[in-house]
Amino acid sequence: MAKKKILLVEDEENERLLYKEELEKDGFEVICSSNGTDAVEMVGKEKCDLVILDLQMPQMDGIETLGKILTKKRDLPIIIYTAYPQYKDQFLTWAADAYLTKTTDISLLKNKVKKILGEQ
Amino acid sequence: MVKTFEETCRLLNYELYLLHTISKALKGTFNEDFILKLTLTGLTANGALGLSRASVFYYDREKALIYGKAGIGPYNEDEALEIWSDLSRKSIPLESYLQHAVEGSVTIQKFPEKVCDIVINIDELPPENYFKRVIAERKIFHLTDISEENFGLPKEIRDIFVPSEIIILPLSSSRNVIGIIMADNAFHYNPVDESTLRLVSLLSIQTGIALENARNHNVIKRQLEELRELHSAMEILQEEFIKKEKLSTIGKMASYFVHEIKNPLVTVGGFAKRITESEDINIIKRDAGIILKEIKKFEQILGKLSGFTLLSPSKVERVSLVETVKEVIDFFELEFSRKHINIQIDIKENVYMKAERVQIFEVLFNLVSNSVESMKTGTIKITGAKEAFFVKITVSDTGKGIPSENIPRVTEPFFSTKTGGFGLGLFIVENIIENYGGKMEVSSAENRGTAVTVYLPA
Repeated sequence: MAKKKILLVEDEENERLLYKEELEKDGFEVICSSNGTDAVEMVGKEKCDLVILDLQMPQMDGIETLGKILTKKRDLPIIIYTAYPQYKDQFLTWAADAYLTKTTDISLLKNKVKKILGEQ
Repeated sequence: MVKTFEETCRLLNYELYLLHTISKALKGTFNEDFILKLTLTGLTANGALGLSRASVFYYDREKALIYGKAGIGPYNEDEALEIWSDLSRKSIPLESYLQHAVEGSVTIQKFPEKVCDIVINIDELPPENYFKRVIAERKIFHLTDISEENFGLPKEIRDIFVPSEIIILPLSSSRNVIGIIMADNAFHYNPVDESTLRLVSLLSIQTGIALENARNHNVIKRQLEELRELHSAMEILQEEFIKKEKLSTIGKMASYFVHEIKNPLVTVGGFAKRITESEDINIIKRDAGIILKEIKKFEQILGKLSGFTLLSPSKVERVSLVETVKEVIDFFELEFSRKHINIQIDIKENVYMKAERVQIFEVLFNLVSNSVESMKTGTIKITGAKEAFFVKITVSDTGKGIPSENIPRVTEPFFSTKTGGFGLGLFIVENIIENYGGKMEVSSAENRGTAVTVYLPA
């Protein structure tokens, strides 16, 4: 069975590395983007199964990126992964499948990914 | 009887003197009761019109009622003798008499009390009744033939009626009849002549004007009081509001710090956990290196936080613009580098303001924060210079700008177009600036940028 492919959109280099390696350990293929503009382009080109999206990024912020991704692929599952806890209601009502606040325990993110991709 | 020219002149002169004196007194007050007392005194005072008794009735058009409002004079002959014998002993000038009418206490109460008990339903009066005619025809009536048998007046005033010459005339405002004046020559029966009738008419006009002015004045006074109350209530609300907004600003800054700290924290935590699980020394070394790099970020953030205390005591001091701008810039350093924002500062070193340091920080923090949030990348420029008694500070950016229709609204509380924006930034800025007697100007062009200029006392 082919590996499920995750697009990770995160501007912090070290965080990107951490999530990529952790998710790869669980058997996913992870492609990365450090900004919203590239992410939208990659969604168009690559066949992704899930997007993990940071909210605050340069060039195009998470909200705008989310809107553009959804315009291209309406059914693509999206997890908002952010340091801001306060926008949860806004995002869950209009777009994202999950809204996770960043913590040092990465297993929460990993479990959510597995759940959405039906591997749990 | 034909008057000589000299007699006519003397009479006119006297009439003018009377009217002038009473008018002057009427103009001096906005108290309705005083106006009525002055009028009634003018009608009855020996040195004035010298009528025996006078009363004022108010007319309530909506309820179709006429009711007694004030009266002056004796109720019966005994009282008449008592009053006039007392007054004839004193030779009082009219001015003092009028003054006394307002300030003095009335000893004879029976006639005024009887007048004030009277309530007449005008709809029940026959058309020929003089009270009805005076309101309908708006003219003076001089009645000499009123008797118990041929009454012609409302039955409610029978109790105060004494067969005598009676004058009744309307009391009018500029638009409506507002009442009726009634006077008679009971007990002394001095004939009522044309001069008296003319003066009574003129006096009633003066009284009508004075009453209307007083009512308007009182309405305005009441509205002013209401406005004053409203204003002080607003001031209290505004104070509370500003307090709350200060807390909101703290919340906004706290949220900013939480974000700044959380990102490196997540990275440190994640890599630390991996180290505990890994056996590959190379991976461990690399991860430890990453952790060290992230810890440096903590140091930077904490360094900024310790240099800034929002809750310092409120005191006006000499605030250096350069230093405050530097603190704000340091605060946003990470954000600037993340968005590749170019920051330009053009401030003369010796610019100082008389203000509370924290508030100036708050003003600049809000302005720079708005600029940062409005741009993906670009340039923020901060200029400052002394202009006359003010320090002019401008924060401009090359961000997305504000649509022209929103510019007048940017200082409205809770107006925000940003996701999760509190909509209080510029409202707070404007409040702070205005508290110092300064002002704020916003100019913006969509997709080109925004410039906010504030003037603070130097």
